[in-house]
Amino acid sequence: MDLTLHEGEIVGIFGLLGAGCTTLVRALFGLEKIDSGKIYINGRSVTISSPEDAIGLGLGYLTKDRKDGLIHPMSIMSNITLASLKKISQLGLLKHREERRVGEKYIDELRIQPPDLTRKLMYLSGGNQQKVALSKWLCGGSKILIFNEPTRGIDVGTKAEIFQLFNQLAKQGVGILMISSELPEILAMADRIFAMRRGAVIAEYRRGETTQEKLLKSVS
Amino acid sequence: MGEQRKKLSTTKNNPRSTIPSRVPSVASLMSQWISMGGEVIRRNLLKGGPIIALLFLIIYLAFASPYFFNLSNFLNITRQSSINAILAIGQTMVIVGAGIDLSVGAVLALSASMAAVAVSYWGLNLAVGILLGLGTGALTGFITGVIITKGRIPDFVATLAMMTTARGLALILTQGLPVPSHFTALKLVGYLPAGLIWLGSGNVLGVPVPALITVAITILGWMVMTRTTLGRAIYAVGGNREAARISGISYVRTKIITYTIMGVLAGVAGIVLTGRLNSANALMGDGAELQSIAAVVIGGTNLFGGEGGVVGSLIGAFIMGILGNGLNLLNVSAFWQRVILGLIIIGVVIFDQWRRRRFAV
Repeated sequence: MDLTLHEGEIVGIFGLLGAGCTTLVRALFGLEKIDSGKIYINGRSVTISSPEDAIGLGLGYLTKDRKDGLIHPMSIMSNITLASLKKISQLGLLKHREERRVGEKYIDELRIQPPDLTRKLMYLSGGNQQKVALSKWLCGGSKILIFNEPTRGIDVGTKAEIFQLFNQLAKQGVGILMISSELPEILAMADRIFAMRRGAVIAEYRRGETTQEKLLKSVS
Repeated sequence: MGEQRKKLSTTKNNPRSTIPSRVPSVASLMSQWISMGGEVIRRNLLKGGPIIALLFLIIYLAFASPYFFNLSNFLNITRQSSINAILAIGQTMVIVGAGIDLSVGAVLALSASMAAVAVSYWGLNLAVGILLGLGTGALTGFITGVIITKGRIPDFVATLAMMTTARGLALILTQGLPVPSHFTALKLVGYLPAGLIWLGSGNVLGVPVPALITVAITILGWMVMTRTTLGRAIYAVGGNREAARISGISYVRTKIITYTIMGVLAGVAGIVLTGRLNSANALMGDGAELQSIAAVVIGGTNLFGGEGGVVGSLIGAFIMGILGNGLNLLNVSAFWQRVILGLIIIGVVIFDQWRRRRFAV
């Protein structure tokens, strides 16, 4: 079955543990080998064999576990610019002023607390760490964002902020792919939902076409 | 920034105070200032740990021995610490990248032997000889990096293997004899050129050349680590390899470049040491790898990678040099000096871990 994502759309992926959701998106991002199937971006067939490829094509990936996607002993600022080092450097030399400017921009826009560029990431709350992760991809100019369990371990207030951001991003034309095991979330946010079971996409539902029970049944 | 600020005590909270609680007494103000001052000092102390230790060491030794605190002794110390410092800079880069290089001493010997053989037996001029020496270091570093990344072999194991291999190659190259030497099968073309000797034993305006080289390399190392994308990549790969990968940073490229740089620096150290000893041999730098790692640890760099800096390691190497010099002047036996160094390393690591747990620095 084909999985499609359009500009400005929020697509949800739902499946039980082991259904292959994470593996699927990791493969999309060049972190896993692809056995079969093709990837098309804007109609063109592309090969993604490494995260570098994926990033070059405009993808961004927020990992399920924030330990895997962020560098905890590094500062907020360095984490934000990590995927866009070319943007803030010239011939390999970093432009610190430019980097600070970019860092402050995202701290403001996403209201990252505490608003201290030099603060090490490990001292931030889960929600703020997630915001830094998001900033990293926004900084890199990603047009396709993949979120794996975006609100896991995050307080309610920040959850709401993050969903607001999703909507904003979608309005700006960013395509969002969201894996979530929280049924209410995925039903509320996604324009379309793909259900996965045993490593295959088995169903596609548009917004409003399914309920919590139906969705749960289809994946088990 | 003020997460761990302690609650300042006031007369209100002190039940034993007989002073009316409304009026802030001089005593309470003073105690407030002292706590705040203490906080400031403590924070700086924690960040600048190695420098504070260095200062204390110098002050203590200055009083303990009359021969310590003079210019010529200090210059001597810088000359003696240079080799370790140069190696420590490279080792810092490797360790911050979550690696370790045990082959440093052997590569030092191999590069030095290559340079010395090139000028003494092959008759090449000094510049070419030095390039060959540095090139040898670079090549071994490069190979080490490739073995670790493509061979998926842990850094410790790969550099351990390289250590014995490089040592063996150096012995083969020099036939187990010092270079230059009359007793080899090769025809001796000339002794080590004056330029090479100068690199290890010379002075510029009274400052030992090795010290100048060390400073230059420290500045370069500092610039690479803090001002370049390579430095950022090293910290990233060392801090969290998977996260660095997800951010598009190449683990392979970063590792290989880091180990190559280490190889070049081992070559620099080897050439300087040759200049100081007036000859090269295959057993030079025996134990240098552990000394460099000790300097890095004392300097505050985290052995697991992701944190630390080049300047700290320079201070670490300097502390080791001063310690050795000072203990010599105090007539402490060389054997006890080793014990003391070991205790200091453990002390530094314990303090560093406590500092990390206790303060959000």
